[in-house]
Amino acid sequence: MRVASASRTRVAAVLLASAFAFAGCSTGPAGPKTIEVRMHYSKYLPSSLEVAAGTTVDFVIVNQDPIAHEFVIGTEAEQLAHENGKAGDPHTGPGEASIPAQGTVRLSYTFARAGSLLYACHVPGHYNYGMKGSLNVI
Amino acid sequence: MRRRLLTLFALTLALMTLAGPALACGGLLSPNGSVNLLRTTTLAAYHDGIEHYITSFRFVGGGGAKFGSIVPLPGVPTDVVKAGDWTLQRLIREVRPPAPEARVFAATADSVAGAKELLNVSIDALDITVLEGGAAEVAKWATDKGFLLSPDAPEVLDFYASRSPIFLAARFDSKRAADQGLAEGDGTPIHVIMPTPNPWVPLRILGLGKQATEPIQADVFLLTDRRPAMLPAAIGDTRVGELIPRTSGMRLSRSEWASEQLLADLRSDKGMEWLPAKNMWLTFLEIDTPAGVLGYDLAIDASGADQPSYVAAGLTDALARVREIVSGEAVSWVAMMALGAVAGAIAGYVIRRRVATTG
Repeated sequence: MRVASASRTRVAAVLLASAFAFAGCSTGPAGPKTIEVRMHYSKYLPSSLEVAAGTTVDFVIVNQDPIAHEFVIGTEAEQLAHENGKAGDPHTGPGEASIPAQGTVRLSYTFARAGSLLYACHVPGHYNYGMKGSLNVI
Repeated sequence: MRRRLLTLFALTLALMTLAGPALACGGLLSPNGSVNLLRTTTLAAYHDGIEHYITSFRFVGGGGAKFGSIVPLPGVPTDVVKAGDWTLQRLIREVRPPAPEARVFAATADSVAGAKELLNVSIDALDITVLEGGAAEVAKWATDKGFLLSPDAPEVLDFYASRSPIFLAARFDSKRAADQGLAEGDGTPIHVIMPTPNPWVPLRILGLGKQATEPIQADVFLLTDRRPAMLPAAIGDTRVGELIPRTSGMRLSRSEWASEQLLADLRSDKGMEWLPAKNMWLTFLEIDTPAGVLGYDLAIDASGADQPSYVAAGLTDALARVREIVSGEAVSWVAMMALGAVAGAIAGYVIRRRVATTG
């Protein structure tokens, strides 16, 4: 009888843990996701991305060009602030990385909420050349 | 004699002050400023297998103390020297004679592992380096020298390095220019001497660092032993077939035997004695096109074979298209011949049967 009771308790614990785990899957933060972004001829490949809000993304940024580039995540207003020199230089804050010529940099960033963002390069002349991509957080 | 000398002096002054060519190819930028390049003038003369590439560097603006320019080359130069003082101006005068009032005015006016360095020469305030390397090596060399490359540089350098890994970098030292009494805007002509199977003029490099809509204007003079064939075909070039790629951004404005007077004038400039006294064909091309459209170079066949290279022109896409068309035509011919053979066999069989039946 005691054995049966212990067994029932174990089953209940497993069910409870499963329920928590299921609940965690549906509403909690998603696990890290890896996205590779390449830079070639001063363009990003891909030029647009979509991620779920709450996701932490490990960006692997591969610069195939023989010149240095940047990868800066932000709203359009923030990108313009970078362009106008109002956001501090060098760009080494969260969601910002400088990638040397033909180098690779890993950058981890958590997208807390939904919205429209850009990733862009602010080496002089590169943003106006079109070195930007759209990042839709859903 | 004195009067003749005075006339010659006045003519030289006029040539030096008229239409001073503001020249250079794609820019290397200093971190502190940009370089504004004005109209470019180039002479590509070809004789005895040697290309004499003469251009002049004149920088306007620039802000920083260091800026420069880069020119892709089809081969390794045997020498880079200061060009004569007025060769380019004399050519401009040949095709754009000044109006009489302008002449009067002018006569009275004052005038990665980095790339391997193959040759270093200083000419006035220019430090000229001939480099050998791919796009990455040349970009690293420029970066190591403190220059900032424009965002289109990776693609443009690849465009050239895939065909010829030789580049000429000209760096302007504004401090030395000041020491030498050179004013910003003064041009320094240089003369690149290089053996090559055919002459070639880099054009796409003129758009380096420019916005796609910015206009590129350039005068290109050719002097060759015979009338050259060129690719892409310019407006006004009537010697080419339908398959030859044409461009609307380049006009053939002069194509004729150079006058002996012109050749004599050019031969009397410093370093121009190699030029034959007669039998040289003068070609004058005017380029006026947005930078975004200038995706080609000028390939020239001066051998008489009329086969300018698609690769030298950077028109490999067009070459592929021509090959497709030609191979498509070849396939059509093979199919027609096969059909003819089958039809012949059937006809033969029918005739033999009729003969057998009637026999």
